[in-house]
Amino acid sequence: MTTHGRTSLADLQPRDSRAAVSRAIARRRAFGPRAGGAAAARARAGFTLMELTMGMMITGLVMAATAGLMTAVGQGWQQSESADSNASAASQVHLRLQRILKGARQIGYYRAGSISGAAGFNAAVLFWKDDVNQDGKLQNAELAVIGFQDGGDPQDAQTLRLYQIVKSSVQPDVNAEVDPTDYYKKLYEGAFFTQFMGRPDVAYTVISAGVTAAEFYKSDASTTVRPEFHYVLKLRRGSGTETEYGTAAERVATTLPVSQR
Amino acid sequence: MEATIASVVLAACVAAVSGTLSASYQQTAVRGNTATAIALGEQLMEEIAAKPLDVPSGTTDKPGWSAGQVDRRLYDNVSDYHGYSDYGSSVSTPNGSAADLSDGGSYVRTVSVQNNAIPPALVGNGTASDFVLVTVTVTMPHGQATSLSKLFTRVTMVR
Repeated sequence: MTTHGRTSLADLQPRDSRAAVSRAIARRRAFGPRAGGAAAARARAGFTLMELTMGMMITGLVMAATAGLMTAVGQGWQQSESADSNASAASQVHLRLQRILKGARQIGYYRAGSISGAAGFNAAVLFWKDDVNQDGKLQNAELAVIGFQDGGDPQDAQTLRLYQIVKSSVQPDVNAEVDPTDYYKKLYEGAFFTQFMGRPDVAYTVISAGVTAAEFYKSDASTTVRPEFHYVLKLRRGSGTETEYGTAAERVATTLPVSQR
Repeated sequence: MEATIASVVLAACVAAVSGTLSASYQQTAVRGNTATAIALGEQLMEEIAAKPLDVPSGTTDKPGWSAGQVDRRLYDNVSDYHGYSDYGSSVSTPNGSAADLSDGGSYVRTVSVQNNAIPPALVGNGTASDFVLVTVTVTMPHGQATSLSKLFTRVTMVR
């Protein structure tokens, strides 16, 4: 039997002549088993060079597109993580400042500072953080300062800090009244602020790192029921900055001293 | 024919993946916008919370937003904020300067003050005019909005 012009040895019948067998064997020896026909060879062969080239090109294009997509996805994830981190950091700054300032009894001396860095000094505020012993009087241990530290201090530069007298302080005046003659007046004096910051038992904790500028405002008057404290911060975000503005209203403010009315 | 079908299938796959990624990116952006919007809303709400419902006795009630006063530094009670609106790109600070808090997007803050907002459970047991509901709504860049509400009550506070 001949199929597609090709003759196999099994197809040869006994009645075929020996010459026919010899021709078939010689043919196979000379051209191999596929030498039956060009059309059959083409039909059974793999892709042509052109087809392979085209296939590789298409595969390359798809791979390039996939790589681009994956790169974009990766960048998206990184940006998402960065955005989440920034939002979380900003929320934390607000929460910490609000928690500290809402419970303050009195906000005293403050330096506004400058969000543009033009003030020449750092923003800071001295306040009566809480009447811990509930005696209605101001003791040194009940004071605190929130201050911005720019690059001037290499340790913890560009941070917003909370300064307080450490609990382990052995200074004799830790629990003494700030001024027995006027409980609040000193709270508003710049000289007292400097004196407090110079105490050996005052230490700070970092409220927020990555603060490049800070500006504070206070709103209080004799007719004000709840004094407001406003803060504007510039937070470092990658190669740029982001501005955050928050307000804290004192919930338990004490009487404003006569000198400040 | 085969090539056309392959192209259609490939295009459908690309469209599906792109749609998913786009939705994911948008969700991320909205999350960031919401955080910014909440910070903006909380700032204004805290500022309002510092104000009394009534001005202290002996002082004159200054005009609020409804009376044409746009400088909120001059507001002296909660009602003055009713209708107030500003843009996140130019929020005025207490020293009069404007701060850009928009984070590159477009945010609009609006305030609504609802008088006589007595909770249903207190109707009949309290004075309706002693309750004021303040709502700060912040509209975000993609049109979404987030609102913060706080109920204020009339109390006498002495410093």
